[in-house]
Amino acid sequence: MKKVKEWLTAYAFIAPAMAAILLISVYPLFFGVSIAFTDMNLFNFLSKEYKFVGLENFVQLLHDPEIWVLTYRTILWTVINVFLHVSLGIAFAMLLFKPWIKLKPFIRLILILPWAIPAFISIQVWHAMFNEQFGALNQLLQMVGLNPIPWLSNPVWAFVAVVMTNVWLGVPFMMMIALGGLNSIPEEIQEAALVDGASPWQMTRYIVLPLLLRTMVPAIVLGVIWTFNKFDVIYLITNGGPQTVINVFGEPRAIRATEILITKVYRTAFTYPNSWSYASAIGYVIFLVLLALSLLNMQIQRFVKE
Amino acid sequence: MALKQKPSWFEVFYTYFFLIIGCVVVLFPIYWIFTTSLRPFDILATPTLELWPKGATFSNYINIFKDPYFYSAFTNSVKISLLATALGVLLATAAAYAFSRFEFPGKKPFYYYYIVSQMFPSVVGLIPLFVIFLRVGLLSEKAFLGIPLVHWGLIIAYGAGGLAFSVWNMKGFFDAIPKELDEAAMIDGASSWTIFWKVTLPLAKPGIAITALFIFMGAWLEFVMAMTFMSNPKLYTLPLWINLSITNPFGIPWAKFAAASLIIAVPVTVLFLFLQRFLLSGLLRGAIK
Repeated sequence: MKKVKEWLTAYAFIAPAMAAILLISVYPLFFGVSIAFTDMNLFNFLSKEYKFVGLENFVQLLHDPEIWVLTYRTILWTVINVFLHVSLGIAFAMLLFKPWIKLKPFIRLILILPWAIPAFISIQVWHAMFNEQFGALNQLLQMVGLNPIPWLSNPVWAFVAVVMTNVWLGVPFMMMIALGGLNSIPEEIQEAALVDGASPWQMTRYIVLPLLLRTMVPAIVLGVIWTFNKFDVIYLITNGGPQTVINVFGEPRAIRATEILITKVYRTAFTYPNSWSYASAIGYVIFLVLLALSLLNMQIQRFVKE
Repeated sequence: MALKQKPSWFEVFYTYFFLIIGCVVVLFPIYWIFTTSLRPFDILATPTLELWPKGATFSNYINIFKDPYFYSAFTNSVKISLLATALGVLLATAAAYAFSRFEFPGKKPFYYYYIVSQMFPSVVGLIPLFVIFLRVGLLSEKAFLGIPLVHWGLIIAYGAGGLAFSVWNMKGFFDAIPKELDEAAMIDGASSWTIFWKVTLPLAKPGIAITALFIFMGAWLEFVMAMTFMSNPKLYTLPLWINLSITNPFGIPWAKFAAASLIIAVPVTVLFLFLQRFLLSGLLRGAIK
């Protein structure tokens, strides 16, 4: 009886928040699934002429060569970014972790700035710096006697530009996580290794790095998920462009050079001629794949622990 | 001990060398945007990099508020962010208290929901939300209580959209307040509501302030939803104003853009530097548990 009373009190406290979450997050989540099984877009929604089409959107998705190109590119984008985030993050954390560094709090403060500045602003500043005529990067290159780079109009350089921006944004987070990890490695282990005659390099390679990487697994998984769906950097700097021609299964096709899956979802949903249903179908496939990956990862971690 | 032995000169050299390179790479964009904001001329962009602009002036910071579109974007953003924060804090505080203090069926599923919600791409969730808001009229420009309905839509979405994170984050603060205090009050005959209002809440003030700031910062520069919901520049929020100026086909108003960026970013950055450890602990509690 007392228990039921406790439940009721608890429910009274959480009811408003749960109602809001149900209406703003959970209901849309399921409603979005149902959209993926229709042919809904802005126009047939307003005239209420949209209809159920079954798996048509998903079939179309599997047969759309552009989706495969974008999937490949999204994976490439994720691997490059997460690799650079994690390796640079660990490298800077190790440099900063040395006990004899002077001005340590000050250097740390500077190095975490890209994480602290609102991403929207830093992305727009980078966007401005990539400006081919007046941007700081080309001015810097010309100052040291090099040729200016067509940052945003050349397909390869545009991809380099968005990766550069995203690496600048993402390293501090991994550095903070790595610093936390380094703090948690017991000094005794390293001392024991020293006594056994391990060189500094051996100690880093065989003791510190493996222990550190293990503590960083949750953050790396989060990093993969965030990068896979990183929308703002690409949308704001290149908007997926410039247009380029890629050979897909022997057929040349015009595809945007820096588009990834998530920017494709937005473009499909909110630019003319829009298709909410097809965009939803792509979006939910991404979500399910990421969910499966992280469940798999949880299972593997549990397995390793046991 | 052995670990604290003196480093070789080579180690000292490369350590500081790479740390300094890192600092330069981090600071360069900030330095560039700052000097740009001091340029006395708005439209005339210099094709060379100036280490310090000629005739540097702070006038851009004042003149920017004379731009009617910037001014309205600024007030719109302040209004929307504050109301979203109030809504989010109200809902999150009560729920976090229950999650910290009571045992009840449904606690675990909420935790799983929190994890899954972190994985759900927000751009994908935007589609059904757009359709729902369109249907119930939350995308219209008609005013309700003096605020356009589309702004109410953003307020609701910002305030309630990140609730799972806010609740989870705030639960940590409530967990840190000893339960013995509640029990003592209960023995004295206080009701759950009195305990919440008179005992726990006053002690949780720092946690509430931090949660409020996180919600505020999330709303302050959100652009995807704002850009999708609004087409009238008079209703724009700050990020949309910035976007408009940086993609201006008739020439980017460099100094204005730079000054506005700094006005918008500096206070939030300073706040964030104070708050980052709470964010990390909240995130990792979610990831590790």
